[in-house]
Amino acid sequence: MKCLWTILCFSNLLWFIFAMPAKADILTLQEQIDATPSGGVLVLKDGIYTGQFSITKPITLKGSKHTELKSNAKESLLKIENTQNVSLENILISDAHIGIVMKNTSNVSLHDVKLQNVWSGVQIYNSKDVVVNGLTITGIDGHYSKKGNGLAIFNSHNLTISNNNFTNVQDGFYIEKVQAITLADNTVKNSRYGIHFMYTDNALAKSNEFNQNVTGIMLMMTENTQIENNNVKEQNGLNGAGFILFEAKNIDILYNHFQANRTALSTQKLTTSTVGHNTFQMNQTAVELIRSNKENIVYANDFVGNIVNIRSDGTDSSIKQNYYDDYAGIDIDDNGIGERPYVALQSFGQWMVRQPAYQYFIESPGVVLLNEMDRQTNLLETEQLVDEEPMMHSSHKATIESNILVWEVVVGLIVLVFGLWLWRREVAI
Amino acid sequence: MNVLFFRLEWKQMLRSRWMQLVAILFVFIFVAISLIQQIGLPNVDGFTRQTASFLNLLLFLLPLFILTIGSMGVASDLESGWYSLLKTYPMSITQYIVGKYLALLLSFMLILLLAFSVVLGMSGLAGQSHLPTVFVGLSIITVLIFSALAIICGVVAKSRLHALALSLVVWAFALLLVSYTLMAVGTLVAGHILQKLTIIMIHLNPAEWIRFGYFIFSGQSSVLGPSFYEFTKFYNSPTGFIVYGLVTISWVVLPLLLAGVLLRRKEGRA
Amino acid sequence: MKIKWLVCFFVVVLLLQACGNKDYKPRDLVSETDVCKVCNMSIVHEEYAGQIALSNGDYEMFDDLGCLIEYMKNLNKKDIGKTFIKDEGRENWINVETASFVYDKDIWTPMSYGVIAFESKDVAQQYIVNEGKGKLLSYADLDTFEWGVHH
Repeated sequence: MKCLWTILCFSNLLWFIFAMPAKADILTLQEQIDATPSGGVLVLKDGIYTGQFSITKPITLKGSKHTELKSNAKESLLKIENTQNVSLENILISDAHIGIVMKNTSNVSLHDVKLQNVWSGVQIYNSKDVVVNGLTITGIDGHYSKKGNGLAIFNSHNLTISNNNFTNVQDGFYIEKVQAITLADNTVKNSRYGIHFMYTDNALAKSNEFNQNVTGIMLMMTENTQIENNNVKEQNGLNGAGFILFEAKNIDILYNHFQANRTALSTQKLTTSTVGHNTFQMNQTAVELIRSNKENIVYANDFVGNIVNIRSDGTDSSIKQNYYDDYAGIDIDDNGIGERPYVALQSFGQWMVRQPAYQYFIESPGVVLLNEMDRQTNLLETEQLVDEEPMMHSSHKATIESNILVWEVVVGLIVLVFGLWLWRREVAI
Repeated sequence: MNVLFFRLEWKQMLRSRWMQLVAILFVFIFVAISLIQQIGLPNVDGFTRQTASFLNLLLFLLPLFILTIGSMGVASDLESGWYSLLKTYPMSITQYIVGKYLALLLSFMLILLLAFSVVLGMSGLAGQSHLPTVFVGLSIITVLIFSALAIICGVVAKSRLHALALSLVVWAFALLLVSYTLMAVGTLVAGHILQKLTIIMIHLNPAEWIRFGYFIFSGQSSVLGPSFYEFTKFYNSPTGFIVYGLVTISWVVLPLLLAGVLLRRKEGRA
Repeated sequence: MKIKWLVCFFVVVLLLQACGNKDYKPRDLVSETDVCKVCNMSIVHEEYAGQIALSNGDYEMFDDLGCLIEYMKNLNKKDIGKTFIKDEGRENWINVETASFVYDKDIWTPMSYGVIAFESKDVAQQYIVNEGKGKLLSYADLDTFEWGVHH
């Protein structure tokens, strides 16, 4: 602690030396904070405040239109420690190693805070009753292994995190040993993981959007969690995945939309969980159930245009009442459920699980033929990956605008007529 | 090159009922596929089942027709004595092979032109997808490579029927049997060996070479997975593009050269 | 002709098989592609990474010692060539079977298992003295160690 103070004082001193001549008439930000009484409101004027700051008492810090905090230190820019009832509003933080660090706090809120060009955005340790709303984080350029997390939370409980927007960070939200957290309406792009849950209990992630990350949600050793209405698109890099659930229990994955991911949903060692009412559209692999999943249920999902619908390495999860666009059965009694079971088992899908180099053959001519043969022999399969009640109709509605592109039609026609004319001319003697 | 011979070949090609049927078939299939593609699914950039089926159709049908038609054309020349008659004119073996190759090549290009013009018109009507340029390029490469292979099949064959059988065998090997063998071997050997064998196979099998080209040129090389990361990274670099071009050219030139050598040897024996 | 081809093919296979080096060396991490075989996490904290060189020449990578040990438990002894883990605080790979380990619940690792590896017992002991926390573990202890969260 003493050491920390020395650093703090020293850096303030430095700040004095370098920044004083320009703004000699005003107090430093730290001095302004110190001068604000407990429970008071400090409104910051427009301007750039350089240095490192700390808040250790209940205050509200409000920025004006162009309030910017900057720091070049290899540490955190703003510290909030051992206090409660702190609120931060409308502030821009730039060029910091870590934007904000909170330790041992309660009842803290961040509203409309923007961080840019930071290694890591916000870190929260041992805190409770935290609200983060409208946080925007833009990380540094480069590979994700050289970056920090957007918002990292450790050993905390009761947090509400909403309407945040992160790009170019390692993990958008890193959540470790947290109880009771809600993440809603957040967007994470171009990062490693959108949300990374570790050892977390009782979380809710809804209406978030994940786009072009390595993985949308990485959920590990976590229990009692709902994941609903998220939009998961284009996680299609080398190891891309929509969601990966690993060693988890009681997870509900409902009404999510997965599109164009490499693997939409991968589950490993998952127990007593449900995957329902999701739409899996045009993914390379939609659902992967591997390494002894137990007592899970995959129901009422739509599988449309995926290359592999479901694959597993032998699991006792049940699959029912999903819609598959490649189901070939008929519905005689007109109850919306096909009469013949749907078998999702594919020899190739099973191989792919075991040996990554098989990936080359994905949907290759040989494999397509093999799948067709599988479909014939699979009618006898009753154990693995069988849906006894496949739905006949998708619940998902296609909406596509179409407006005629005249030039394409004209060019197409002209070329066609020319080709036919050429053929006729050459055939004539 | 003997222009007269080429024009004769080209006219004969276009006159054949078989070619006209193939043209109608291709136009029909391309229309069907582009229609199916536009039903119900958003236009996603990436490797989806739709793009895969388009690619597979291309790989299945185009080589099949090029190989059978091309090889039977050469074999029937040899069998019927038409070739011996041609030899009484001042025409070299090289001229004969190049003429045959170009006639086959250009008539299939004409078929592709018709098929893709219909696809372009259809997609314009539906107003959402654009002409798949990668597929156009790959079709052209397919025609270039397999026309050369067709010529060599025709030269090797003893009769028309033999040519048909031979081209079917080549087709089955390129499209199915080689990859099945490799998949079977993969269950026995270690992952890194399967990966190396696959890379070797990609270069030695023209069908796989074209398929691999799709992943490179459409920017979808991540589909092949992490185990091919270094390999696809190389082919995505400028040097890689040059190497791709060189290998493609040698797939055209080497079979034609070999066909010339074999034909000369055949003549020597006769 | 065909038979000749097949023979060639299998000779190549056998040659490649034989090429698998028998003095197992750790391979470099490729941060673009390497993910943990067990938990699927991409390996971004190289300082905790581990790997198993399998006897058939393949490598399996791990982001945390705990994942590595779990994977080893399910492997046949003869399939394992050699196992490596990053030396704590240093860049080099060390052999897991001869390393010493320190556990403390406050030590952060990618999977929060809290176990780090040292080249020798002395260095590990030194670490415990310097940090004022931690428990010394041997390779044999890892077998019965309870991996998972420790509050």
